Amino acid sequence: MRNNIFLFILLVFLQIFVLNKILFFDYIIISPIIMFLILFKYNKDSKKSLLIGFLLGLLIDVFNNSLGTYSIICVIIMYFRNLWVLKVVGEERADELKLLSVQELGSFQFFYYSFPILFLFYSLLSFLESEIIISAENILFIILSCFTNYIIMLTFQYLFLKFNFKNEWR
Amino acid sequence: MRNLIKFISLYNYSITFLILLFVSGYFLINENFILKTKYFNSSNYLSGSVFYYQSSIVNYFKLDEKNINLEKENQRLNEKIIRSYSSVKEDIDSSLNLDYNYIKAQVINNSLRKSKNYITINKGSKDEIKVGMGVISSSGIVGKVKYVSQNFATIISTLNTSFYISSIVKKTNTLSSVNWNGDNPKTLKLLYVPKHIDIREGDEIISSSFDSIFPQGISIGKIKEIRKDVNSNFYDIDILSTQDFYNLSTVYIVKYLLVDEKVELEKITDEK
Repeated sequence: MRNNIFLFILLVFLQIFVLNKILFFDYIIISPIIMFLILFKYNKDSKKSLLIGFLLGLLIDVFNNSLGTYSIICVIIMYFRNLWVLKVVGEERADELKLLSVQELGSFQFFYYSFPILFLFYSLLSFLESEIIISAENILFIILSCFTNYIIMLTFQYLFLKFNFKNEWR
Repeated sequence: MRNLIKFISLYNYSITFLILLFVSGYFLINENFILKTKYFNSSNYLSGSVFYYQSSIVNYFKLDEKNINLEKENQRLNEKIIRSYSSVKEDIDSSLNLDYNYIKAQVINNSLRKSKNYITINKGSKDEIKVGMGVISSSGIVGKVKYVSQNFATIISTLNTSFYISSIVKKTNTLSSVNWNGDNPKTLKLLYVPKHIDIREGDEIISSSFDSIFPQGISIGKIKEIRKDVNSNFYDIDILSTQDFYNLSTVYIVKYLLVDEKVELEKITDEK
């Protein structure tokens, strides 16, 4: 638990002070907070998860001078994710899972669960930040950012979360 | 009443979602939301202080770059002094600029990738910074002060699609406007230059003093490409910005000393 809190603070810190300011290869934005939104434990009709999403978005907005952008994205993502996870894994299993991670869901199911969320996140971000609905550049940005973040998300989970589970089983 | 309570308890999850969505949407749409000026941007005490410490660390690693920029600025100022000895016009221009005072500040946060970019500086109302003041650097125009707290201020950057600068084509003295269209951070748009004006690629664009924000003659950029649109009376012009926003560290806030007098006079003239 303590390890997870530390990891969460580290992700937010990285997002605010480093990754918010960098556009990799002109098209890729790395957002560690999406990882938190995806992995966060599912509870049926959890108002807490919506509120946490909103506050997390607001925190990023305050440091990013983008009031409303991240808070609206995080709230929509949390709501969508809570519905989507039921479609992907079903209610009973979703309730049992401690984290919606690749270790718990398996590679294929995790891809099926996380990729639409990533796609929605970057589509909303692209629309709200550039104010352009569809352009070739935006589509390229969405696709490249989704793939890069998916790979980073997998790497992160295999590096850090596996370690936590080993501890929990002891 | 009982039905209402039953309805709320049944759909409380969706109602919470809609409330949060509405609040976020309100923040997003209403840019002049009063709380935004005090708590919800990087000019507030907490985030401003954090960015201040961050920039002091980052600036240490940029000292080499800063030295090179200072050398260039020195060279430019020396050339200007030498030119002013031999040019009467230059003397007149520089005497006009005495109506302005400059307050030096450090950039502590700077965004580049959005369509509405902002910069945070380490000077605020206690240093006599006010909303609407112009901001320049040694290489040209940076933006305009948008929000001020006691110790910090946020600046609406030239790289903000809603910011327009009153400008002049230096060669022809044609009044025009400069705006960013949200694409390339190095390229700005020069607007409202009629097609009969003789302009060339490489012509310099400078600030006019008509908006009482910037002194006349501050560099904005050079014409990069001129296109003629058949359906318009004006050129479609791209200019290459002189400002390098990627390496912005020291800026100067422009304080126009006669602004109240000018605004008052223009107000009386408009009324009559």
